[in-house]
Amino acid sequence: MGSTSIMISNKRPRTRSPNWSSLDTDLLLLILDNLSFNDILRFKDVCSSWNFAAKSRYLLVSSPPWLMLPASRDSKPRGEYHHHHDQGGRAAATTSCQFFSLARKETHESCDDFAENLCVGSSRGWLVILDNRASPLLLNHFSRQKIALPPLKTLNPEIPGWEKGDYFVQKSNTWVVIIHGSVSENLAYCNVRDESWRGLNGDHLSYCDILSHEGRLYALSSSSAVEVWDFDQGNSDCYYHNNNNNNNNNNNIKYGSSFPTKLMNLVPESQPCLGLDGHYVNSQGDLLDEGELLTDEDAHPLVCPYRTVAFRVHKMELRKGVNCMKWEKVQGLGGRVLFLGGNESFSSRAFPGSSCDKNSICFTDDNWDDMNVDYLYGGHDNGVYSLETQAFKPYFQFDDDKVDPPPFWIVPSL
Amino acid sequence: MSSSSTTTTTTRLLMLKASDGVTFEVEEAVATKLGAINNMVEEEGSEDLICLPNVNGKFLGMVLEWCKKHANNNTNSDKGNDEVNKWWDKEFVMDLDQNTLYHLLMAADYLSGTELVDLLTEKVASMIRGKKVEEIRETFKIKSDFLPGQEEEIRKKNSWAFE
Repeated sequence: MGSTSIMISNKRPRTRSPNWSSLDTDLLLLILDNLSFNDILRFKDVCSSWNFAAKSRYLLVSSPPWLMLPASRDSKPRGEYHHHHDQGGRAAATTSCQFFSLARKETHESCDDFAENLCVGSSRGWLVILDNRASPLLLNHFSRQKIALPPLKTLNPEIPGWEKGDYFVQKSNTWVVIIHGSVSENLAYCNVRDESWRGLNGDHLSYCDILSHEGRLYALSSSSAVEVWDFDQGNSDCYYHNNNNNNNNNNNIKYGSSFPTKLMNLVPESQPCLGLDGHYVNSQGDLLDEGELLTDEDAHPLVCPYRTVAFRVHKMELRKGVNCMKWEKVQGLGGRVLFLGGNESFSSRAFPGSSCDKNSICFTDDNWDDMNVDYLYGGHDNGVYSLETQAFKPYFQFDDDKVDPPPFWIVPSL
Repeated sequence: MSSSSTTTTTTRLLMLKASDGVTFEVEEAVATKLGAINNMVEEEGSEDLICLPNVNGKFLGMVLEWCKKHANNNTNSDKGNDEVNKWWDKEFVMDLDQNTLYHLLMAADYLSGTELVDLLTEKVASMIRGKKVEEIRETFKIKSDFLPGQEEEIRKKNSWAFE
């Protein structure tokens, strides 16, 4: 900087009074790095620029997910809630779930009363809650947003239970896709503004996992085939115009009874040996299929009859226009980490030094069929499996073998 | 003094001039703790006078005090040094009021004193922790700029999910 002589200033340099709300976003992000989630929730309500910084932190920085756990038995409401919420009386309510941050190893008690409500899944920061009348609700625990979904009885035949949920947003559209049923598991979808659920009629009898990526739904069938559906045709306005017979928009034709469009049905040349449970995960464009092998051989049959003993990972590369794909066995995850469970499965970068180091699989119990057969166990099958050392480690010390409700991964989003 | 007997380099002195004309004479090793000064020294090695139009003398002095401590402590490679630095940092930020803290943070950021920025942002965080929204606004003299509707919305979202 050619500085030497330009700085002749005849003004008395004034010390401006601090303007904390106009602090650089970079500095606000540094401050946020030092705050717990509870504090960030309050930070974002201070003013609009702090709000922006708090929200962008969750867009920019991918941090390890949180784990939703049942409340610890001896948990007492902490004094903090009296600070946080004006209605101090409410703080005495019993906590029924807690959130465990893998990054900060801190537990954050929730005062949401889930007693009458059942969490059945989570996807992209949203919890999927069923209330006692089986009306589903999407709840963002962190931003406090709620979205009511159509009651499940609008789907015929009536859904007895809801096992896995997935949802995704495209443009102004939010679609929710679920797997439902017990003997054969089928797909159903709705838009958050819909009045009812609709069945998604695929080519396969039963599905074991779904995920969404860039407006497409990928459904893994029990026979290891993958169906791809396009949910990204225009926006919801077109979709709704069509229902109202408003034909001004030429695109309307596309969104009739054929929505959503099935793009591909990938039938593998050979079936990988999948064990009892299949998950699949989008990992940077490829599909990974987890064969989770469950056995009871080594465990005490009375106390704990099921325990995951190994994972086998298969990969399917998606290439356009090819309808016959191969599942290839892979040894590593390219340095990434997988998170599996009753929630939407996902992969993320590794977080060295934490439980989720590279090439490991963090899993929660989603063995729904056996989870409720005994009061001594269920929901207990949790841990981290390293593909490198083939060893299991716990990421959280549970009190006993009955973890009810089972833990869910949840990615904080504001 | 940091010059060692094996090298013949003499300690170079730099003049830093603050916005209010106050000048500071500091060793190069101290001033280059600041990324901005380091860049200037590397780019135009001959310049000995550096003008800093965005920093007031009071805060430049404080920033340099911090640099000096850390530059000195870094030269002896004792294990206990980290502890000494930490203790000293703690003392340094302990009694900062929000006004001084703000200007110091601005100065440290402007001069790219990364470590000092980290220390100060942690101090800001410590003043936020455990406080209610209203208390945070009070502490930092921030006026809510949300529209009345938004403010209402925020309050609503912070109430309980199931009532």
